[in-house]
Amino acid sequence: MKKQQIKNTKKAEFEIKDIFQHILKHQLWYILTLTIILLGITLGMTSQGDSVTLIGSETYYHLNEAKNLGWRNFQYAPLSIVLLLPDIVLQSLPFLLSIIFVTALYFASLYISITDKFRYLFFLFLVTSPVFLFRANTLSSQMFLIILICTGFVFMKKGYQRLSLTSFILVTFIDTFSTILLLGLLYLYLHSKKKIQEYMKFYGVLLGGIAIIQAVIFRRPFILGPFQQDPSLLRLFSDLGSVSGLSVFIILLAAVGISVLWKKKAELEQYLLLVLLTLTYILNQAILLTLTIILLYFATAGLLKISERPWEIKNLKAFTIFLLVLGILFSATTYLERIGNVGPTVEDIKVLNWIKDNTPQDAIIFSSPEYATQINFFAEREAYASLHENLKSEKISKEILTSLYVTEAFPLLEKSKVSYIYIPKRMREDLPTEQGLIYLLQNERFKFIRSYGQSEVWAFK
Amino acid sequence: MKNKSIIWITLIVIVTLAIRLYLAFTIPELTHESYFHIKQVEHIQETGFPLFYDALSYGGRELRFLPLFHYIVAAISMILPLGIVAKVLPNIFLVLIVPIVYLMGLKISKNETGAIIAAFIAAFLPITFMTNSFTTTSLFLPLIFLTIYAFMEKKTNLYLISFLLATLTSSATFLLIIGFGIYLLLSLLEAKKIQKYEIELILFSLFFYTWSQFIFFKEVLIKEGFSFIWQNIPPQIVAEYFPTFSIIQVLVLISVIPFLAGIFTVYLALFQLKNQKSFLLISFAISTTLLAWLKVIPFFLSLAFFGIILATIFASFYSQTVGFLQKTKFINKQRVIALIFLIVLIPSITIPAVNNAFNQEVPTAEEISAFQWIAKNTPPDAGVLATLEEGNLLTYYGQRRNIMDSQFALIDNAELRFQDLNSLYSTSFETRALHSLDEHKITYLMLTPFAQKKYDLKQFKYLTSECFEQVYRNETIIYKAKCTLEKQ
Repeated sequence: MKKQQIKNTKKAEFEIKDIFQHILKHQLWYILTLTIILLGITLGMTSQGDSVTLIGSETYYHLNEAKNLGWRNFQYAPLSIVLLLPDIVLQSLPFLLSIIFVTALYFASLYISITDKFRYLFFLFLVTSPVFLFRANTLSSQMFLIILICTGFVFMKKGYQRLSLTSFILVTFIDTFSTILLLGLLYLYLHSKKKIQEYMKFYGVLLGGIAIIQAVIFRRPFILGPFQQDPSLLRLFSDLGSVSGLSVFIILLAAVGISVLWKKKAELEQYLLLVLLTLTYILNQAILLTLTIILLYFATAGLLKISERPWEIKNLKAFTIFLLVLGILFSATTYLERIGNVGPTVEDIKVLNWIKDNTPQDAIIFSSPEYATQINFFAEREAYASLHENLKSEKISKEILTSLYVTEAFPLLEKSKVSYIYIPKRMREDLPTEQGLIYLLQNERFKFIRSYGQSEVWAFK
Repeated sequence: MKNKSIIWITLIVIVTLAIRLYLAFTIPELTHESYFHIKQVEHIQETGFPLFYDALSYGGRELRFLPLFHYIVAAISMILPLGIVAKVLPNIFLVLIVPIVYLMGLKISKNETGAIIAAFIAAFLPITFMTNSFTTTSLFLPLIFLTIYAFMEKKTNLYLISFLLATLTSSATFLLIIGFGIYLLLSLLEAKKIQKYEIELILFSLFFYTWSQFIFFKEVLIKEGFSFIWQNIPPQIVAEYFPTFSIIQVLVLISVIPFLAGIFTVYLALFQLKNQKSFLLISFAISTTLLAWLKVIPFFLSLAFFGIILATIFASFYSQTVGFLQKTKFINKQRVIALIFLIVLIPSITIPAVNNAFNQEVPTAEEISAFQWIAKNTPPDAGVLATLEEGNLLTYYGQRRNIMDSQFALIDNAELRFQDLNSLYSTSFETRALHSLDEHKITYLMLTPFAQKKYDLKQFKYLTSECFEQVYRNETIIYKAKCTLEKQ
């Protein structure tokens, strides 16, 4: 009887092992399937939350650039063509981009010395992370950057030098920091292959030169963004109400991974990258997705160390890992509940379309800076302040939003020549009602014009 | 543990408990904050669940807190009356620190006498001698020190149980997590080997604590973000909850001798003897100081925690003193030294402790009567003006809506409310007062002796016979507002 029980247990263990081996062998398909399921869920949640399919301020920045194509932003030509096609094509774009992103990153990871288990866990963390789920519903320059870098390196490894070079040149069209990052990665790669002297000069001159031309003539920004208004530290934690970010458990695992891998000198490049990206992130949150890749790398290392290390208190190991899994799942599901509120909502777009049809062409619309791109795209009007352009106007708009008295707010609004105020649903929920701009709207100089649902437009006389 | 030590510890526990209970029952009422917890216990007794939505607090609001303490009290108060349990149980919990400090002191010093003296200091620490305070801190402190003791002694099951209970009692278990982090850092810097089981317990604790806080406080975290750490306390009163340390205040509340002994011992442990057993306690002392300086934990809690750590470290100080004496001609005078310590400690600790007990902010019987009068003689939906500290009293005894109380989490515009509350006590302008009363739908104004003392006024400055009618007068005065600024 006992022998039979042992035999059954061993058989069950064997079967589980088989299944796991199968998953590891075909992990790309499993990861892509999971990605599609999760993207489907986020699509459902955004529809339920009255948001449109394309969410996030950055999406509308790119769409606006594509809509207003010129010689300075000619790289948006393909997107301009998409705008002419049926809506379904545009709405499918973030989905396609995220599938390509996962695939490109996967193939690039095949050339890094990590185990299959490590790779699988990394991608599990990636596709369930709020930052990926958010980006997968937007048009994200960071996602595009990582696709280009990954495909560039994969082509380079496979010997397709021209395709590789094309990918790398396209990186320079994003922003200057992307080029610097690419050159840094190229340096690390060529250094490891001991081909620095042969190729680095070539890449440095070519890509650096193009980046300088882009910056000077085409006025590429140093870093494109930011497009959200959260403080940088808050933005890292999705559990603290941020629009994207990572689970706090992933951050803790990353801390464990950082301390665990510290002893291995071979990981020095990853630490350099971590330091560079963290410092840049503090200055500009727009590179969160890129920082996430390296943080997830360390988080995966941390989890593997916890699970593979023999524990003195055996039962505690299983319970700790169970807690981690629960925590990560909890963060993901909590985020999925919230993603529907990111916006813009259907009512927001109706209000913005009303503004387009019923206000003068030269009207300046005041709102929270993160809605500037939506105002530019839907309402086709100038927004008073945006997050990524004029820092001074961003500061003044914050003063207006937090003014306690009309004597503070009016001179600022008059000086800025603001004639309309756009208050989307989420902005109204975020601002206090008993003080600040929302409270001051009671003054007779503000006239309520139109609302759709909880999104409103007011005139300032 | 020798029999003699057991007798001494038992004696200290009994004497301390007797004094605490005597003081607790001599002072008739509980502290202001206690009434929030009393209300929660009563609600659990009635419905089986805590009151997570309070229609009276802030005129109606969600509450989020850890309810273990309230469930324990509710269970016990099924046998004994709540009035007695509310005074007895917190004092029993706090007295349990005595044997825990003894065991920890013995662990780090290997000196029975030193450990007994440390236990004595912990028993009479002025900062923890709040005999009429019915709050979660009374359960949290013994649990957290039990957790630390279990960690030191590698008692895994005891550690897990006490840690679990501490996490479900108070979010201040964060102190432990940070303390562990500093302990790891100190051990790394001193090239001390960290035990495998220590890393495992620390990892588990970190993840469990994080997970439990997210489960209980999900909405608070999403709404307030990092401000959650500062509990949404209005900036105007942050200084009250997180005051800057006055060294004299610290010395009085945790006693001079343990403080000086602790500093000396920490110096020796870190820079000379490199005693790893003390590292853990020193790490917690550093974490408490750091978190208090960053205004992450309230003053009272940080000082209580710090005081108990110093009391424990005193055992090590005593042991080192005895060790030093053994090298001198006073080799046979160890008993005398113990006696001298006790003679110096007893008055320097017990007198401030009893004094602190008598200085607790409790409502008077007359104030309670006034709140009870409100409950019987005002409409059920009436809002009443009371100070922030009395907010919980108002909802408990008065059964009426308040403007504010000490639970700030998830409250929009806490700062603005506080401004309005303050202005209702300090303004001279009737219009301003009426505007605030209308905004918060307040129809009755209470001026208790506590409010009079706090705002230094005998009377509201804006009262007129047309708009305000006195409806109750004793030491407390209650007015009814008859006017409104709102258009009819």
